[in-house]
Amino acid sequence: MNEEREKEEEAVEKRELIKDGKRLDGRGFEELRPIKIEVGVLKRADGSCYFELGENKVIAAVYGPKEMHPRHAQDAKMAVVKFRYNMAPFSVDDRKRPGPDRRSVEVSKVSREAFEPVIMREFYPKAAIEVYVEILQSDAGTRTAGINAASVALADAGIPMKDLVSSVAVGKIDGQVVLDLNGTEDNHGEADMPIAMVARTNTITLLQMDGHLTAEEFGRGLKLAMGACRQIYELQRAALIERFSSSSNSGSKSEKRGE
Amino acid sequence: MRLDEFSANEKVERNYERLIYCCAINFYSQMYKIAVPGDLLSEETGRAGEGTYVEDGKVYASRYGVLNEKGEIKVMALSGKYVPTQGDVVIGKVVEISFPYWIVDIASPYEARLHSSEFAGAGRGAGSNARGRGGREGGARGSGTRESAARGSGTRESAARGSGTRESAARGSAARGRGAREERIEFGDMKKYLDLDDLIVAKVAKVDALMRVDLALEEDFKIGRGSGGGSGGGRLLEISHTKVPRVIGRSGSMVRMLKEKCNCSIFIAENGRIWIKGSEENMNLVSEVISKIVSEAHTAGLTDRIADFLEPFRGNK
Amino acid sequence: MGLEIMDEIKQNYVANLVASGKREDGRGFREFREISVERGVAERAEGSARVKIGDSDVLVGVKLDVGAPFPDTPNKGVIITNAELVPLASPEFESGPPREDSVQLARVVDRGIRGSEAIDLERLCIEEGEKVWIVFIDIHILDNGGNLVDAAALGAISALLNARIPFEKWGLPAPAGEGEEEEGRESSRLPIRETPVAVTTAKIEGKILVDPNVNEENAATTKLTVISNADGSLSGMQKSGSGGLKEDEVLEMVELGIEKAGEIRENFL
Repeated sequence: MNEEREKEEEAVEKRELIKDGKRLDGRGFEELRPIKIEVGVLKRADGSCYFELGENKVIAAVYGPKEMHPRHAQDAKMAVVKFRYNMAPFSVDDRKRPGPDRRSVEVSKVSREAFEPVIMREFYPKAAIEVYVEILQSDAGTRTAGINAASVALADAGIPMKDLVSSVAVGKIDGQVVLDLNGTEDNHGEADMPIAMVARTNTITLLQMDGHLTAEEFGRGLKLAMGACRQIYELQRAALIERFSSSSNSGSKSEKRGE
Repeated sequence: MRLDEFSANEKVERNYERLIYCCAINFYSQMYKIAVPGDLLSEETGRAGEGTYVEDGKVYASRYGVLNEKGEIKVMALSGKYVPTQGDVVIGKVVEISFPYWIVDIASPYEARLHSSEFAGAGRGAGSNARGRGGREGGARGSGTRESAARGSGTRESAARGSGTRESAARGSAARGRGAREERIEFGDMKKYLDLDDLIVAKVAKVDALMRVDLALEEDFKIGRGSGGGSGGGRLLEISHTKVPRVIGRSGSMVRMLKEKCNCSIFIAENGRIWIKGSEENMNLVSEVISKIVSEAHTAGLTDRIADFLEPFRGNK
Repeated sequence: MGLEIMDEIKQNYVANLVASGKREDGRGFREFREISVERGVAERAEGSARVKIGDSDVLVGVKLDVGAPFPDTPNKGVIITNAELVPLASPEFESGPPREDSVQLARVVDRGIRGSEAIDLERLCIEEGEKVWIVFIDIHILDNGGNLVDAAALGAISALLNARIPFEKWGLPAPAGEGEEEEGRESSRLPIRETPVAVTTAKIEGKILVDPNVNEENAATTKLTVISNADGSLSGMQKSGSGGLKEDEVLEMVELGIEKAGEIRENFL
């Protein structure tokens, strides 16, 4: 893998993220990286999911509903959703100091807001539903992988929801709008736009853009991302269903290979 | 640059193949049909039941679980926390004494409380406050959602009464003995009635809009202390409350079979707590079988498989 | 508990008004509140601006420092943006570590400046790999009347336009090609080449309104902040709130954002 990375970096030096109509990792402009989903991987958590998106490796765990602390922050009418996105120190090349930084705080906030429209919180007044996403290995798109994993973990925990939420990012490299940037592309690209969406209703619950896009590129990128979210939704759903397809397995693996 | 413009692109075709593979998995691999939140189940909104919600004239799944379409359209959750409903019979554990209440853990995000007056007038407390059907009092339910509690007939009764041998430990004797006195229980006396870690059988008398849960004592309320070989020789098992119907079985068939074949008394409470009593060996067997039922709860033909498994054990001892 | 009920009553009131096509303060759905921009108000700062949008009051100061560049951009200056929601600005702000709202605010404003490449960072290089200018953008919220992000972003770009590099203070030559020497002050302006403007729209009862005030923010399920440039291109976007948006709503909000940004740019920048 390091050799490939080196080749990528070299190409980038020459400002070539796209060569002969293909991206450095061989993908087409509208192609997702391979995805792997395992449901119910943690014994202690009420719900959990291990998710791979290309070189990204993330785990989501859900605890709850449970008693909400501090008491004064309880909502008398519905459960409070807490979301904590965190990157492990060894998840990136240059060790990241442990603990929340400003970026994690922001990602946690927008991720929580991506789920609030679908979780039926009114079933658990005064309680808390806690979602933890840990990034074990990072290669751009971690917040999208985290949201995809969290959706599955919430279902696994038996939290009542209107829908699953699916997430992906689009970006621009070498002037071209592409789907699902990897690390190299994100570092040297011109724009990065993660979204999260409810596939059934095409309702967008997370939308951020970083970088530079024309309004037209934005519109195209949005459509591309929405289509990919629908694909990811099929994979999330299949993983949840397949989990119970063999005869005995509370907590067994269920793989959905992406390619 | 829309996806459908690239149908000639081989990479997109591979995506398509992947999607078809997923659909095939959906179709072939289910013994029971599994529903995932957001799945469209039906347009007959009148039949919407537990685990579903209604929106724009359609019924959708709100839970991850087994789909049941006979009669009401329901999704039986395979995971999730127990939320107390009036009328439920639960096994609770005393975790705090906060005069004039005992605070009781009922394996739920919500704690329950038992008022000391439940002891004054033995037996009167049992269920007397708890008439009425299930359904949360003034419960907060979001508009457009409808989750009616699943109430199977017969099965409920066998859970509550535990037909068969009845525990005689502390058969309300403490309460009965003092029943003649109508005095209040004093602060210092509370421990004499119920102490920390005591296990009790109680009925959920009331749940208010602020999720305060009040319990009423059932007859024979005290069943021992702690879990796993408490005094009196019984054992407390804890399973997900979602699996309770499976352990009971249709019209109690599963639990009846377990009691006979394993020669144990088995009391299953709504909140997923099960009190068993018998010889060490038999209790181990019951524990093992219940584990098996729990892990295969989503499959069909379970009762038969368990019957086969229990064949060699024709009511040991 | 009493405060919660009040909020709910206000929210319902606002929502009902919007449903019938009106706003609390009589504005049209596509109308901003009154805006005022005052530059050079904090004289110890290298650049500053005070922006008011309705009751919201934000002071942005720009300070310049010399320091080491980031290892992967050895020839570029550095931008560091910070926001403080000081307790005096609102009963809801508390002292203590940065809350998610202030972190989000700072990062969104930063994104707009960075994405548009408003500051020509290569012109801030003093010695490649060793010394560059570090631009600190500090946002100080003085009064929360709603829609702080638009006020803060406008304050940031105004302060940057107003800022001068104190090269003499550091004994350094003026950046290449700048050297605007005015009497008594040998400093030059920051190399600014774009003017990103943030415009936030809220969705209430299915309707889209621009520049939500405090009550409208509380009543809104969702907000979208769109940061656009003079040429109509986009350099940042952030959806916030617990609701969802349809594709056509997003596109409408983006179009409205670009249009309003143009008006603000014309009048204030």
